Amino acid sequence: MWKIYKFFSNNKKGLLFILLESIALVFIIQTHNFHQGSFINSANAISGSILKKTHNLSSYLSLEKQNKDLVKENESLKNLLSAQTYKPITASPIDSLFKYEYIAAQVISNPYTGLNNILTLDKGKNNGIKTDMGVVLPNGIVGITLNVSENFSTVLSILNVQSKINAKVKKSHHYGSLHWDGGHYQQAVLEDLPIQAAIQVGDTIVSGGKSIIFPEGIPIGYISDFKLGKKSYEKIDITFFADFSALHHVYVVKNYLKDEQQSLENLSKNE
Amino acid sequence: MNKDIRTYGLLFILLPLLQITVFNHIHFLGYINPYIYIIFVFVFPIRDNENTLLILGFLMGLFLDSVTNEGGIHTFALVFIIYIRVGFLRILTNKIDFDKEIHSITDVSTSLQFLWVILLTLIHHFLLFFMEQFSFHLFGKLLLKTFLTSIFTIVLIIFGFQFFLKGKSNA
Repeated sequence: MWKIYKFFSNNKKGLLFILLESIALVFIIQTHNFHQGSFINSANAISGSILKKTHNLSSYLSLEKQNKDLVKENESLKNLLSAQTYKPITASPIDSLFKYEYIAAQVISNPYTGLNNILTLDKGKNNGIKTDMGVVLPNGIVGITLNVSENFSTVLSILNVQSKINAKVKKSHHYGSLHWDGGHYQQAVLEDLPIQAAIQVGDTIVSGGKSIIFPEGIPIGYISDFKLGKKSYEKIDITFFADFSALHHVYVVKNYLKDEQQSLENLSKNE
Repeated sequence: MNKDIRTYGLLFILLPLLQITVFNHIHFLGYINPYIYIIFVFVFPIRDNENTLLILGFLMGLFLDSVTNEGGIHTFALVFIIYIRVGFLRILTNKIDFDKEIHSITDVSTSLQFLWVILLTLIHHFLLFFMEQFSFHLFGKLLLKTFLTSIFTIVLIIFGFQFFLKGKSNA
């Protein structure tokens, strides 16, 4: 290694420049390739522990708000539970009960000012996290896991111009795809919604059931504005319910039936 | 020389750490973070050691990119301004025996120092945001972000100059 260094340091500056810039360019192109995590990412031991230490210090400042949010979530879950007890079980409860498992994690790095935002979580393989798992909040979708190491993982944020998430209008069950256009962190755009879907400003958008990554019906946001074109909706603006500038506790969704569904879908595609 | 190694070694470690722990969380106007780590390029001595600086800049960039998950954008922009920094200064000062007279940025008049910092910062930020976006789509927005962030960075770097270069002038 020292010899290589010596060779370059004795030789032309331009040669070294071109070499270093091409390496950087390879990494840049790699991150713009959606399904592939970057070779250099924060799910390594050094970056992860630095981020975790910084997060530990700064999260003290918002402990009160975090507590309030968790209590609120607890309250709604308890209400749901007490409503459930008095309901006779009708359909087979097994698929809905055991299809998903939630793994709690903390966001230790939460960039939201860039265009290709990628979050870092403090849980990894050791906690059962794998790539392509959904990350959710009680009132929103956070993203999809990308790189996973032993103790850390990175998440392709919904606030990443490469993200596209299946969503539907809650009352009419029409599907579209949710997409962030790089603007404000509270705003997104709903695309490909059929014109038959009668929408109004204020309608709730929830996660659609078409994705095998996210459970159906997680609230995402509401329609804040839309423009009607001749044959389709020109633009539908969505405002998120969740505040993505202050993320702390999130849940990673493990879908037990994912492999089964995926292999079945592949089989049908091949036929 | 030993003192130099110690000073710049310390800066090499402290600047990226300061960047990720403090300056990446400013969010001025909702989306503006100053990139103060590039001051390393400005205060690093101008001698026959540009290759060392290229390697150091590359490593610093890789570290920042790995922590922020931004691919190679910091690496690319930082290595680029390191490559052009001496040539730029040579053009700006218009000195014939540049190599004999100029060994540090403090050997240059204050107004030229500022001009040099401003131009290199603008180039760095433009490359950074362009590589992040990787297309000419939304070009106006890109220029606005470059401009606003550069102002913030330049002000902080000029403050930093008072701090780092104090007593190092050639007087």
